[in-house]
Amino acid sequence: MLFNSAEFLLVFLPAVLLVYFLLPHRRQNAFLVVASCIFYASWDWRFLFALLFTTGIDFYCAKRMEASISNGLPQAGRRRYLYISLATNLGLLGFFKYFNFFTQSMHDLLALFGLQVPFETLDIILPIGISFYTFQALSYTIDVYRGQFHATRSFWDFFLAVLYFPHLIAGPIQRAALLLPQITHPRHPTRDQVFDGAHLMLWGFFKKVYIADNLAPIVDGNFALSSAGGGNVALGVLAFTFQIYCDFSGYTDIARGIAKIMGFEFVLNFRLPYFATNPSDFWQRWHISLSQWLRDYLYISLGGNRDGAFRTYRNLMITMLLGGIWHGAAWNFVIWGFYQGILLIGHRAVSPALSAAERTLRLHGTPLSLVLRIASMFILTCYGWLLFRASSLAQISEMTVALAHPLRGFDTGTFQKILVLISPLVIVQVIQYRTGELIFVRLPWFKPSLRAVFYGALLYAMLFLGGQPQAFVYFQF
Amino acid sequence: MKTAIRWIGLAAILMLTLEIAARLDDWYRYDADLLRPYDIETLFGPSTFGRTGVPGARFAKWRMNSMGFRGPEPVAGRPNIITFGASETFGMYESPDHEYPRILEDLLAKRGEPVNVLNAGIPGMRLGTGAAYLDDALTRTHARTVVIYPSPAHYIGVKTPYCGRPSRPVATPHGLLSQVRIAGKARNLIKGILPPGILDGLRRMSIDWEIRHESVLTRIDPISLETFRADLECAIDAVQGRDANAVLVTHATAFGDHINADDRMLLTAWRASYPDFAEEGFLDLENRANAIIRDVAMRRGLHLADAATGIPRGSEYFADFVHFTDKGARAMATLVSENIPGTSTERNPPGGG
Repeated sequence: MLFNSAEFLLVFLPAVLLVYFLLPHRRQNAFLVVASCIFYASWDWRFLFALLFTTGIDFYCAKRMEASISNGLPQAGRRRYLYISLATNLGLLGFFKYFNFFTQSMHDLLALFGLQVPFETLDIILPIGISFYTFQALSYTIDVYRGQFHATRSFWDFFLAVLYFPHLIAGPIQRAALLLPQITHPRHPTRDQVFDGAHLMLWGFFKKVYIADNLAPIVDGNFALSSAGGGNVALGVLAFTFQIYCDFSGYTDIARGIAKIMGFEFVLNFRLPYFATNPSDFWQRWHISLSQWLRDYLYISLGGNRDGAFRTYRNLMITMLLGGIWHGAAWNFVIWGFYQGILLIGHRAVSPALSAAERTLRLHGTPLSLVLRIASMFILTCYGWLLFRASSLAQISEMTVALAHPLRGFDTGTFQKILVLISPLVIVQVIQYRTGELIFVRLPWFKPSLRAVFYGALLYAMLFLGGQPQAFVYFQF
Repeated sequence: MKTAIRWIGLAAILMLTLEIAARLDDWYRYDADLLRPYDIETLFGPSTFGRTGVPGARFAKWRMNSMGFRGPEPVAGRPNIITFGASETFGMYESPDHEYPRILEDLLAKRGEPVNVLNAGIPGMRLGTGAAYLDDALTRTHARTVVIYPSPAHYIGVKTPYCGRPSRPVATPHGLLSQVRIAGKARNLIKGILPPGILDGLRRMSIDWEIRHESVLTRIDPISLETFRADLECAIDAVQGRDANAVLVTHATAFGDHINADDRMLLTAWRASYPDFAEEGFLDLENRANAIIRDVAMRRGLHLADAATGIPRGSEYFADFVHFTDKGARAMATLVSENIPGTSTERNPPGGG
């Protein structure tokens, strides 16, 4: 049941909201558990048991760790439970997501040395959302282990924190520490929350249905060309740059909007990422819940930037490589992670020199400098999406070589189409960037009558000008 | 009170925006007039034959030529073939230029017989009412062959033949949906996105409401079938009266010769157009009407394309209960092309007549 399906929008969501607002707090939670189970089971009910199993283990481990802390026992005593939780969650994730990838890669590696080892891949179906809910659950046990959060007494509250349907499939990755208190306390959504939630949902659907779904055929077409010219590659990558953003941020907006209407506050996942001025800035704007998770639970655990430049670079690279492979079991995601690592390291290394050069040229802090930084980072980001979207290493290599002739195969009609599709987004984001107000309809000059016109146009574009419905890109992760 | 008025005002602005967007969209995509009604009825207008195609009219994917037939302008110097029927012939769900008359023209051209296939289908047209229109079309086009594809369901509840009844211009009904464009678009959207189970439930409710004071026919009245036969003969007379060949085509449905359990929703959708005729009666109607078509073809020695048995059942070939998909239209065109007399020479049907 996709957010953009009729079943969800016309049946599931209205029914859930109606019943939810009729129930008292504790029953709301119980009802949300049932509704979320139905939502998840609409893909494959069998994976509910895997989810129940891992959350059961995490709940038990957290409880034991909490008891250990209460009894003043040393950290070593509770480490065992952390390892059990890590092994269970990462073990299942590793099996479902990476087993075939590693087996195949090992086989290929041995073949390089002339060793032919017979192997078999398994016909494994990836439980939907496993990468997201595994990280969500792990944040809970790690926080309890670190003594940063108290274990909850109610299994069902914890189960709901992991299972809650708006964020279950593709995030944002909600840490239990942020979500559990909202589950245990009564929620009284305000009128502003409901309006903001509805606005986020509409804007999210617009980005998904009008922009991302209309860009999808352009992307698919250009990435499927057997001998693409540089122009085809550039257009395909440009279209994918906006497709993936509108698809993923659209999903997040819808998820945040639904949660807001029910009185939950989700973390911000995107803050105008294509306005980033450098790689580090980009990761504070793109998939923020993942980059913060990786920073807090991986990068800092590895030592962060505490032990000199080399170790900082090493830690950055490990974090980004693992962040890359988190997205999918394929070499292009590893390369994308490597590329992001190189960008972060490179930026860290050359940043002082760049600033000095800007000062010398008297560009520091000028609008021109800002535009140049944003444009440079945008181009680097676009190339990253080429690595991300390509289906093989050979394709990455061919497309990269083709970019040497960026006008070959450049179709102005396709370019115009892309511009028409993304122009509403660009206009809105320039306003958001300049005013700093992400819920832009709150701006004083956005009078109610103008809002009605804006929502009318948005609704029309969504309902009648949308592309062929596509599954959300991040569902595969 | 003030708040309520404010909200009503905002809702009105929102609706107005949607309506303006709909009109601009039609104008940009289809070059539609911004102010006049714009729906499929734009294609048809009142005429001395009741309701016929408006020359040069356009709506969405549909285009009428200067003669008021769907399709391109005929090429001068080529013989003409007319395809005559209702919405199945006119083409509803096929991609543009994939309705069966267009494909038939292509197939005949590939066979070395370049002809103009003129699509004289008009949704809702009954054989009898169309006979005079057909006669006029033959006069104007000098067509040598007419493919007749009747819709038997149009005769449910009909007791007297339409043939010979004086016809009068039928005004094109421009309802609310064409005045308020967003309403028509919303209706199509809802039909397209509603889960089949809900749509079926709504149709059933609508049928129950319509028949609340009426009795339901479970089997086609023999008088209606005789009426169908009389009108079919009348249409053939019109064709032969102009010294042209008639090719009869039996009526094909998505159900073929039997109805599966999965077909129930499709059958309900069909019944929604004929609420007082029970679902179980449709297949019987089709079988008996097709028997009449075969009988008339044999008796009068006409060419017959047996679409009822020649086109496979199922959603691959049918977009709904009777209307073709692109693949169905191709199957239909192929079948007709195999049974059509040679366009250049043959004037007399096999076995005389």
